[in-house]
Amino acid sequence: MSTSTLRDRLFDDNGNLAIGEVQLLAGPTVIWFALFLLAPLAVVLYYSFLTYESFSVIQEFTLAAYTETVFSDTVLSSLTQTIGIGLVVSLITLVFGYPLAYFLRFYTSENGGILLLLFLVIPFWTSGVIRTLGWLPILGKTGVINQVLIMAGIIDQPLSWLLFSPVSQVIGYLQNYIVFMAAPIYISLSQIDEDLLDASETLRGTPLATFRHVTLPLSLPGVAIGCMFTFVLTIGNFTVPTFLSGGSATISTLIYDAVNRGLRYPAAAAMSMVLLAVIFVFIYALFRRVDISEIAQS
Amino acid sequence: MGPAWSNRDGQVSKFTEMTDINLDASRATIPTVQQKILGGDRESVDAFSVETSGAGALVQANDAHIPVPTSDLENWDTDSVSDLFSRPEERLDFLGAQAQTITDILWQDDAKSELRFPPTVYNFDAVGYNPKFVDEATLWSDIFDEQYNGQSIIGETASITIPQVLMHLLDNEMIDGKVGDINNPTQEQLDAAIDFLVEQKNAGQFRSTWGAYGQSVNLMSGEEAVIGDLWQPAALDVRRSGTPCTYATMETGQNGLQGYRFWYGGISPTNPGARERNNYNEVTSLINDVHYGAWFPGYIQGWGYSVPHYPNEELVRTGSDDSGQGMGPEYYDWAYRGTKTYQSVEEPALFDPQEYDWSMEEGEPAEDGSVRDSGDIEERIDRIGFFQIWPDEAEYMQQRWQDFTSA
Repeated sequence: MSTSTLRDRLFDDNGNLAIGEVQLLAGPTVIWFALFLLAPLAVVLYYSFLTYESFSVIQEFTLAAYTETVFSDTVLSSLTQTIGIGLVVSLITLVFGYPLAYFLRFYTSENGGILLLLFLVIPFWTSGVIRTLGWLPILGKTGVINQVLIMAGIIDQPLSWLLFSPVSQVIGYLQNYIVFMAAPIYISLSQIDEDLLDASETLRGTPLATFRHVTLPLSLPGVAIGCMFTFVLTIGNFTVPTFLSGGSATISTLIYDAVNRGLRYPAAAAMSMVLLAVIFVFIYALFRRVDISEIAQS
Repeated sequence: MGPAWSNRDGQVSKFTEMTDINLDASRATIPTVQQKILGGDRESVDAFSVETSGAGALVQANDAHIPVPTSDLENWDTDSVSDLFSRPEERLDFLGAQAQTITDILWQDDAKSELRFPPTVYNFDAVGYNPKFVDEATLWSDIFDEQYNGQSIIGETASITIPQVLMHLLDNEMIDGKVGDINNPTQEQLDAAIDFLVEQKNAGQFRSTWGAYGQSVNLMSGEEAVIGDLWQPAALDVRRSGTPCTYATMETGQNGLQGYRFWYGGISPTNPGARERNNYNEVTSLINDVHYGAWFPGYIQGWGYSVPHYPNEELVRTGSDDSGQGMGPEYYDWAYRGTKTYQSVEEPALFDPQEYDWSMEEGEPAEDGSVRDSGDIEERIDRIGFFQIWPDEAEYMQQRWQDFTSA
C-alpha cells in the first residue's frame, strides 16, 4: 500500500480525518485482540513447529511435535476422552442448570431471580483451587458424607467411589459451571414475550406443550451460549482433573506436564493448537444450529 | 531462587544475620526454576537451588552455573565431608555405573577441585506408611502389593517413579538389567516400567497419583491412602496433622536391587548473574558459612534432611561457629548414629523432631526412646538403591510417561 493511498483513506479532501464512527469504536477492541490474542496465538503456533532437544527449543522447523506427540495414540485417546468429558459435563450441567434458570424466571420476582442468580457467583470469590480442594474433606474416606453415613449406620465402610472417581469430577465441574449454564438460559427465558405464553394457553396448549413449542425453542440461544461456556471451560479445566480424578490426565494436564517436566514447549504448543481447533469446531457447529444473535436483538 | 524445601526462611534470615546482606529469596518449583533460569533470569539471579534430577538441565545440559573451587569453601574438607561425596565410586561401588553419575554431577573436573553442583542437603527417600493399616513396609515392591489395592499412592515425576518401579522389577527378576541401569534406563526398560505402571493403575492399585508435595500429605493424612512413595518432610507433615506415619527402614530385596532413593540438593552461583553482579563471593558465603556451618545441620534435620559435613563431629555435634550452635549430642546421635532419644516417646509414628526438646548435654538413651526413621546413616548409605538424576533417554521417557498419566 502506497503512502498516498493510506493518506487518501485516512483523510478526506478537506484534510479532515475520514475514519468513521464504527472504525473508531471498534479500533481499540481490534487492537486489543490483535495484541493479546492473535499475537500470542501466533507465537504458540510458531513454537509448535520448532525442534526440542534436552530442555532447549531449537529454531529449526519440524513437524515432530505433531507427528510424535499430538498424533500419538495416547494423546489422541486423551483428546477423545477430554472431548467426551466436555460433552457429558455440558449435558449434565444443562440438566441441572435449565430447571434452575426456569425456576428463577417463572417462580421468583425479576429482582429476586437476579439476586438468587448472583448468589451462585459467591463461590467464585475464592480461587478455583480452593473450591476444588474443598471437596476433599466432604467426599473423602474420612470426609463429612462418609462420617454421617457411618454414624447413621447406613454403611460400615467408607464409600471410596465418592472421591477420585467420575462422581467427584462431575460434582467438581457442576459446582464450577452451573452458573455459566443457568445465567444465559435465564436471560433467554427473561426475554420471552409473555403474550406468547398466554397465547399458547388460550389455544388450549398444556403447560408441557407450551414449554415444548414456545419456551424451549425461544430459550435455545441461552442454552447454546451456556453449552459453549461449559464445554470450553471444562475441556480446559486443570484443577478438577488434577485434584479430584486421582490421576486421570486430560489434554490440559498433558499440556501442563509437557512444560512442567522437561520444558517441552513445542509439544505443549502443538497440543494447545489442537485443543484450540477442537474448541473452534465445537463452537462453529453449535452456532450453525442456533442463532444466538436473537439474544442481542432482543 | 529455589523450591521451598531448599529455600526456607531460616536459611535466608541466618545469612542476613551473619553478613548484614539482605537476601532476596524467591521460591519456585524446580520446573519453574529451570524455566526462569534458562529463560533469561540467569542474568539477574545470583544463585539457584534444585535437586540432582532438576540440576541436569542447568549444570549439565546447559551452563547456567559457575563451578565452585573447593578452595573457595573453607568448610569443605575431604576428611570432614561424607565419603558419599568425597569418594562416591568407592563408597557406593555396589551401585555400579550409578556411582559415576554422582561424580558427574558433583564435580566439574577430573581432578575434583571444582564443584559443578555443590551439595547442601540430601536424603534417602523411602516408602511411607500408616502403621494403623500396614504392619511393615521395607521395599518399593510393597507399594504394588495387592493387599493395598486402591490404597497406595505414587508420584507423578517420571524420573523418580520409574526407577522405583525398575528396582521392583529388576529385584523380582521381571525384567533384565543391572543395578547400574536403574537411574539411566534403556528404552526397553522404560517401556517395561511404564507398561507395568499402566497395568497397576488400570487394576486400581493406586488410590491416586500425586504431583505436588501437599497432595501426598493430604492423601496420607486423610487416610485416603495407607502407603506410598513419600518424601520424608511429607511423612513428618502427615504426623503433624495427627495421622501416624512411619518412614520405612528399607531393605535391599531378594537380589539386592532395591533400596533408598538417594538425591541431593545444592546451590550454584548463576552464570553469568553472580559474576556480572559481583555476588559470587556472597553465594559461596551462603554455601560455606550458612550451609556448611554448625547451625544448619540441626535446622534442616527438622525436616529429615542430612548434610554433607556430618562427619565433622567437632563442629556439627558438639561445636559452634558464627552461624550458631551445633546439634548437640542427643540430636546428632539420633540423626546420624541411629541412637534412641534420651526421653521416652509414646508413639514413634507421631514423633516430631521439631517439637522434641533435645539435650545439649551427653546423656543416656531411653529404653523406650524413639529411633530416627530409617536408622543409622551409614546403614542408610549401605542400602541406597538408586541415585536420582535426569536420564539420557529423558525425551523418550517423557513421551511414554503420558501413557501412564493418561491411563
